[in-house]
Amino acid sequence: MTTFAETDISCKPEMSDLHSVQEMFNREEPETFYDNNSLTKIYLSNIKFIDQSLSRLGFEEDVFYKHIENAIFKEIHLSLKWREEGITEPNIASKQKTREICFFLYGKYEIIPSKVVPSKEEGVSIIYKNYDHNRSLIIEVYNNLEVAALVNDDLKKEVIAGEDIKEMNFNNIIKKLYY
Amino acid sequence: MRRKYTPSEFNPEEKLYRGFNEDDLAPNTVRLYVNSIRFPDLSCNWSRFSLPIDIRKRENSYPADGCYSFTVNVSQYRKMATPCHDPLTHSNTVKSNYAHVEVRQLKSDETIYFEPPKRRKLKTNNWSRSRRLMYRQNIINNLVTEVDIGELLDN
Repeated sequence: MTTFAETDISCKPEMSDLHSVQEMFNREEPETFYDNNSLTKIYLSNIKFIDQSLSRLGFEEDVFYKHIENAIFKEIHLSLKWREEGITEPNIASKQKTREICFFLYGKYEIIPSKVVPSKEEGVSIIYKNYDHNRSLIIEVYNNLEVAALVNDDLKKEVIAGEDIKEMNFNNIIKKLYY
Repeated sequence: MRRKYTPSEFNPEEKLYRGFNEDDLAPNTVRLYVNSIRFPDLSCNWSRFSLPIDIRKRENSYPADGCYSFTVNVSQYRKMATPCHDPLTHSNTVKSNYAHVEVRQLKSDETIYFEPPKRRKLKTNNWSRSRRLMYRQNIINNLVTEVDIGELLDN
């Protein structure tokens, strides 16, 4: 497995680099336009998968782990409006399961989520992007610890596959993200 | 008094309007992701009796709310749910809204022309989690923005 430390950039990260990592997780890609008939933002060609950017900066892996921890345990909150609608916050168990899945998928497949956000279905949504194939992998971890996943073709706008995930078996769904 | 329509009277290409606001957008984006869609029992306005901008007149709405639409056909994805005309009549807590529709979950042996009772309780495993997730993503894939958040319209 390629780690950040094995990349061809040997320098240690500076604090300013850490800020830029934070920005990469949060940013929307700069060159975009809108399809008038859809809410979907169309991404242009200069998009790079975020782990490639991290690798180029030569970060240690623990930067990733710390960032994911932070994203899950400090940044996931329901808005007041959602709470008024009666939506329940993601519970601690679902967040821990989310962390487990993010770490597992990074360790096994070297993929990093582009978004980790609360779900109206009461749990956490994890979104991965494969820009080369215009596909998204969406995983939801619910408060009762059930896990579901799907792969979506973002260009054709159609769901390719969906699966209930048991015992951390993501093999079939991950294949759909690439083929 | 105007009548209540049955599911069989919906045209598959008619639109269902739903409101959204900034809280529904993923952080630092201007787009909706599947996390902001709930299944089942989505409240909508029926295009036969309303305009997209009417979404700003619904209960608990904000003046700057946006509106997106999806078709009746999309709401019946894999025959998992169907739109039910549910006119709201004015009371102390509810504004009247003749165009109000609830997209209600169906059981696997029910057709899209069946009207499930309001607030029917079904076990969450009526449809698997992944099927429900696919249903919600299909709405995201097919929705059309009718009014942007904060958009000013002449009327």
